[in-house]
Amino acid sequence: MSTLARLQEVFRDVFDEDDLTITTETTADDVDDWDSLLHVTLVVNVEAAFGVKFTSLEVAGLKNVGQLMTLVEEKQT
Amino acid sequence: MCAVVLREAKRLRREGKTAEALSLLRRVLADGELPPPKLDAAGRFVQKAIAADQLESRVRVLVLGQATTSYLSLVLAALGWREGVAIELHEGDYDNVIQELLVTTEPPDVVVLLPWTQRLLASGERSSDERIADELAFWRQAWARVVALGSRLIQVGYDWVGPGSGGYASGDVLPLIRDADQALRAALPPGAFWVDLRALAGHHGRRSFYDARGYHWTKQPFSVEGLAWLAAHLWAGVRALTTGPKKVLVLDLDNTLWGGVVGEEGPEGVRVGGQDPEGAAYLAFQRHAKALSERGVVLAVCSKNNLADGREPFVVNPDMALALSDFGAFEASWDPKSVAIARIASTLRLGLDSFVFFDDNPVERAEVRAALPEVAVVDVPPDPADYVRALEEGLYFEAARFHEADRQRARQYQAEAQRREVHHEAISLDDYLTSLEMRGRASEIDEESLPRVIQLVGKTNQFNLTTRRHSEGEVRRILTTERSVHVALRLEDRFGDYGLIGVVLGVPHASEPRVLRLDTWLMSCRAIGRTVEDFTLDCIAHRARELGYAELEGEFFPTAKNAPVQDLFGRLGFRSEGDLDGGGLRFRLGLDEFTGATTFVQLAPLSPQA
Repeated sequence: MSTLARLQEVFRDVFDEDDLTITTETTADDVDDWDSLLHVTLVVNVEAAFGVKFTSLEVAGLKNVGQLMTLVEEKQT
Repeated sequence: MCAVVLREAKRLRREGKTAEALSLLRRVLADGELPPPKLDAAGRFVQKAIAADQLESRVRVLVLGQATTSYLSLVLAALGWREGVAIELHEGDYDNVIQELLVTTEPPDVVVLLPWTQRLLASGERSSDERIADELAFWRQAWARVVALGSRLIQVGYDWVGPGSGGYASGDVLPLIRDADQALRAALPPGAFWVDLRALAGHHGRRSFYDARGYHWTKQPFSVEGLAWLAAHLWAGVRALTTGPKKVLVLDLDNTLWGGVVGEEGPEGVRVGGQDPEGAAYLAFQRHAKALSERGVVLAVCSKNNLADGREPFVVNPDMALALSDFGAFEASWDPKSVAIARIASTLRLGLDSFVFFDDNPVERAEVRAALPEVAVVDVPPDPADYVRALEEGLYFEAARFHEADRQRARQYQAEAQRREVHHEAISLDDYLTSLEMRGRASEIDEESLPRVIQLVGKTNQFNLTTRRHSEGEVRRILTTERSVHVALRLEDRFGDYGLIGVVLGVPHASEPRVLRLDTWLMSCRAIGRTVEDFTLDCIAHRARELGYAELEGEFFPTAKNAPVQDLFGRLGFRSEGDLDGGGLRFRLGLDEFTGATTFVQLAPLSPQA
């Protein structure tokens, strides 16, 4: 499964929407409920799903799903 | 696995089978199959079911803290559901403990209070004694209100994450926090449930209990694992204060109370006590069980053995700590254990939901779990040396402290209440806000404050009237617009300095030059509930008059998050002027008729940059 597809699974669980579709362009404004609290839940679940850990700077700087995907892939190699 | 279960539960809910979804969820929670990062999702599931009237709430819990409590409370709800208790959560805004307690009218069953150390450790001239006295005065106000509501109290203690700049050997932080924690515990109202955060964090290790990133992101200092541990203690507290702690410990015999199988090795051949390390571990577990029985926990045996074989070691083996007289029921037979435990329950006339089952055999545990979901089943580790810890970590027998000395104090407390002394501490919201000694300072936005302003514009959700996510360039354009009104609001109180917490960006109306349009008005959530918005309006009005405006135009665009400010303009005396494109509402306030807002924030002495 591609990183994006795996991320989508995590997003669907966290935001409790089974048919949520994300693209690399998706931002927090596109997803209902994506506030600062669920953002942390999301980060923690992405960390658990991919076995990676983000720094504060990385989390603060995320602008869209594409950047999150790139970050995950960098960390995994 | 766990994600699959949650998705399956959601599918069942979609098909209208919410009851099935909830029982599936309870089963995986009881089996320990949901890891800590998924617990909040389970808690959210329960909250949705309660909100949709698909699940009747059994306990209403109000969680208030000086840190963000949103995850903590959801995990608490998940752990309650693991034991079949539907917890209906109520929460306050971050660091709004007293305000929320004062406006709560429907008394919750339980109030959870979570301190954090930002005020205790705030910079300033106060001595350690003054700091601790300030904290205690604050919590006494909160407790008086909890008592007045008739709610039960769970109070969490103070803890440190690190020793501060003075280090471990000579720093002030650790002694200050320790002393504050002890003073808090000593002052607790009788019958309160105390959560010893220092002991709990120490047991699990602060390096993994806390996550420094969390505090900076969301004012929530705990790691995902730490949250789960703390929530487990909160749940033990809710249980202790509502249904009471567990009452019965059901124990297996072979390889649980001793090593080996008595039917084969004989009553004196089983390993317990003596020089053998394995035997010593079983003896330690027996002593722990005996100490529990001395504290009032009923012990029972449930073993697959011939009755005579099972009883014999207690009679003839001199190394045993437990005696037959320590047990309230003794079931040794070849029936399924669930059947035997049900018999014990009817013998003791106690409900199965007060039972804890401890058995080294995973097959027996699974059988009991499946047949008797009310019974708490301990995940017994393979090494008997870990038995005591496993039982302790289950927190089954945790109770509110209520010793004879407490009873004495309870009487004093009641007498005091009658003398109305307690009521002196039960203050009004106005008194409380006055006591904060808040000072506000409004200045124009400059290069120094711009980065913080842009950060607030980008992330503030709750107190945000228009939620316009301006870029730095757009903010700069407003700042340089002729006759714009831009305010950076700073707040401090007797406990410390909160820094820049509010932003207003106003521009001349496109077609009415005597109207100031409030493009952006936002405030950090830590300043909500303190009349800071009223103070802000005074500052805006003052500046607008200076620039020759006659009227203010307010805009409100509802979002999923900004319900706290939906009535703001009306409350501040603005009149409604109808709809705006994009789903917004327009309000106007004439500056002639505006005589000033009621606020508990004093204007701070003029600073050099103001």
